[in-house]
Amino acid sequence: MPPLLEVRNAQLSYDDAPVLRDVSLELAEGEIFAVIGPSGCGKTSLLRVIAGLEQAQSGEVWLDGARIDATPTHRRGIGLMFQELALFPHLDVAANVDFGLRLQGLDATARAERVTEMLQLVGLPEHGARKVHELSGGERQRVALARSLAPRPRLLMLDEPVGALDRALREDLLAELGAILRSQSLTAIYVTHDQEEAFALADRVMVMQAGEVRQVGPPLEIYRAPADAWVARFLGRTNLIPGQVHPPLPSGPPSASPPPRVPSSPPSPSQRDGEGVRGRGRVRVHTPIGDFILPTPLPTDAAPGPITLLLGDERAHIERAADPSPALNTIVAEIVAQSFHGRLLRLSVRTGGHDLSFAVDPPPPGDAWGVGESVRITLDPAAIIMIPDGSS
Amino acid sequence: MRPSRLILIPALGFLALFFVYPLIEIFRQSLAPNGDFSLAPFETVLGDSFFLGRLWFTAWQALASTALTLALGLPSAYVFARYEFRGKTTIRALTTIPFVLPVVVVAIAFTALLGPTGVLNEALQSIFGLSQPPIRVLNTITVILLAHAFYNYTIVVRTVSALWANIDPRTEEAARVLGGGAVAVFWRVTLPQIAPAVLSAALLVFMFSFTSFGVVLILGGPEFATLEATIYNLTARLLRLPLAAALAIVQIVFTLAVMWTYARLQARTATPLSLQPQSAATRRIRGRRQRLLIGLNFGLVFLWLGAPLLALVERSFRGAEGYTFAFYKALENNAQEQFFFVSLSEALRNSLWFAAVTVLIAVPLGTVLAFAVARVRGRWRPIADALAMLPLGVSVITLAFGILIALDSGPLDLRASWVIIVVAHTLIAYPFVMRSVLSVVRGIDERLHEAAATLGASPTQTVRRVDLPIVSRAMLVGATFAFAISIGDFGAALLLSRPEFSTMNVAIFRYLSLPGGERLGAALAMSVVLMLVSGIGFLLIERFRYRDVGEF
Repeated sequence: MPPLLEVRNAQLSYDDAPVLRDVSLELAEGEIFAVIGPSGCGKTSLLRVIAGLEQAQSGEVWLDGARIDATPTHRRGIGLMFQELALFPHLDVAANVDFGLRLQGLDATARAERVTEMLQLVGLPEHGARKVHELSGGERQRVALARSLAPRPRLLMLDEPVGALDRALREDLLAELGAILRSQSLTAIYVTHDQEEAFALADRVMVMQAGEVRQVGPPLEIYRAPADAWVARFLGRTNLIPGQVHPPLPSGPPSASPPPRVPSSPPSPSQRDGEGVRGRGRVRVHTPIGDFILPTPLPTDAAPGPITLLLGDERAHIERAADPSPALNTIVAEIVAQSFHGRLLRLSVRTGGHDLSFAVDPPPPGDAWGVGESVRITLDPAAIIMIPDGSS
Repeated sequence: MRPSRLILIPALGFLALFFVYPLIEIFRQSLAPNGDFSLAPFETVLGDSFFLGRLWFTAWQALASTALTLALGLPSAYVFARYEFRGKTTIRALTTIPFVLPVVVVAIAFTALLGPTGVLNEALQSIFGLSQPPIRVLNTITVILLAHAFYNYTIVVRTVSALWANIDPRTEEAARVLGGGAVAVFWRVTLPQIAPAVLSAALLVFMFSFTSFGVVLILGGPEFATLEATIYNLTARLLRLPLAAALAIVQIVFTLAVMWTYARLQARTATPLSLQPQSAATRRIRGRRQRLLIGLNFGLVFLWLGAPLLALVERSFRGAEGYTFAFYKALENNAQEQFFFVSLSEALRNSLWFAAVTVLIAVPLGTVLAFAVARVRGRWRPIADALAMLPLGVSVITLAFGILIALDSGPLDLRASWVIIVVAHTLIAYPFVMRSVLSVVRGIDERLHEAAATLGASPTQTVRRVDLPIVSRAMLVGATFAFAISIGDFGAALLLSRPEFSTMNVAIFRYLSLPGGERLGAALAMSVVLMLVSGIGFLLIERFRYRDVGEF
């Protein structure tokens, strides 16, 4: 099936300042696609190009197999929910929702039905006659959603739809929004600077920085294996250590440490190809804070040379460091600070001049760790990701 | 071409034909009256002590009027800005009345109060048994200044109190704590903050007084004449068109220079203020001293604003033998068989008809121009602003004079038609419509247009379904202004109208110039009717005016 939406090599700049650099994406029917990135990364501009509110200097936009670059916004059939909502202040709630329906030339009964249906969907069945300025922030958000859903757009784009709300309200609305989008089997692009929002809602996520696409993939994949150090940091994964990949290991488990667990997922064809060259698909990485032996998902990742290691804290084990000598896949570090966050304890540690942070299970009762103590952190090799040289 | 641009063509065509072309004709008339270039008219106007005297009088009476208006208006502005009291809204609304009254009504009202047979003289004569009226202010500068101050009081109160109310009173309290006395605090803290509003109000008052026509013509008598009145005399009575044209250009240069100075001054004095919501700055009246102060202020204001109008009504019913409807009845039948007689119903019909047509032209014209000017961004924006408002800087008599000498031949010879009056009224009125609409158009979030587009609205549909509904209220405000301006205009109608198209204002003026004892009575009666008609305009303005549209 051809993609519903396709953007090919979109370039956009304002006064010579590039906003979109060669951005491409494909969207399948029914998919919820999130675009994340810091403010100013071009994500809103991308939406505006797709909606036709902005003309890219080069590149193509295809919808339903037709090129739509020359189609004016109002004939594209693409809905957009604005960050600022942009509700019509001169119209009441029902008339706002009705706006697009009226332009489609539907008869009054059909329109009234659809308005009622939409207001019900967003949980404001009684609010049709209200003035826009009488609504709370959350209610306005719902009206804006109902308004953009009402004309049944081929594609709905949402620009930071819950960004302006306070945290609790945001989470409620987010869950509801996801349910509504799925119930309408809509194809949607969701723009946000908040990765949690994107991860919670989207089938696929695209990370943008400075007008460029850094990574596209399912949320879990992006979180587990950021494409580069920038993406890792943007996702709040700051345990980044520069390292050096050693030449291929000989076959068999290394003798210096207990055999590291190899990921249980079945090897992909590419992994199998790599086995001939890279032994059992493992690689040894030397870093200033110790050596790590890791499974390599792709052989290309394991070429000898400089790389960056992302140390994940999933299944990290922590104990008092009785023996300060380093061991494979462990770190010996000094506790700099600790703070308790509900179920997990966040430990800030320092080792070899690097500051790292791990969320770990708290120690057993009566056995608290203190600031200044040395601990040994044993990491799960599956949670350690090699990233192309991230000196940037 | 987009339809929105196409619609601009008639608007610009209207301005080109009825504003730009007449201006060019004024230049041609003044520089080359007979086809040959000559500076003679300018040499006369700028070299003759008579004309220089007129210019000097015009300027100093405008300055004096401004000073007097500020002196009367600022205390009221302070009370409105700083105190909360019962009936504030009503009192505030009442202070608008003088501004919406036609100048002719104001002039007649002052005659009714202060004239030789006025209420005040009659009372003084009967109390003190005097044989001669003791107050002789008619045809003096005093009554001109009083009338100007009466007329412009509203501008000062409205403009200044609007800003004053939003100034944080804690800045004054801070100055007090730092050791400032009441006077020092006003001069050093309050005045600098309200200066932009005072300045803009003063400029408006100055401009209105500088180009004052009706008040000076009716109350000043033959001795006093502003440039405006002189241009009228040169045109209508002496037929010295090149001199009138040269004088008109001198006046345009002068008013534009004043406006430019004002723009510069305002740019320099406008400091970022810590504006407060109005409720935070108002206090309830406490203590006897405050009560007395405020009471005194309004007592004076009402006496001064109310007395002329009450005198007008009283005199209109006052015949030789007590109270009578005779003056009103005489308005309908031409008992003295005057050649220039215009009955009340005719004059009323003319006034209303012209006002209605003016509204119908000025509102679309002002709206279209507001949308066009709002589209201009960046460097050109102030230029577009200024150009579109230019007719506001050209006096009424000059506008009418230009139209008169420009539209004098071929199919454009509109001199015998009532259309010419409506054209002049539209030129005077549309800047007000434009200003009212423009401030709202500029406030429309661009996102609303984009939202409409993503919902399937074409640019034209967006204008119809989003922009026009949003500005409709500002258009309504503009319409009431246009109505009030047309109903109130005296100068343009006097210069342009044939007797059969006399408006109420012109009819009143004609009554005054008729011989016979009934003349003042008829003028008084018609003035009362005109006051009532403009009162409707006033009610409409108060009804539709709202904060976003600004004070004027």
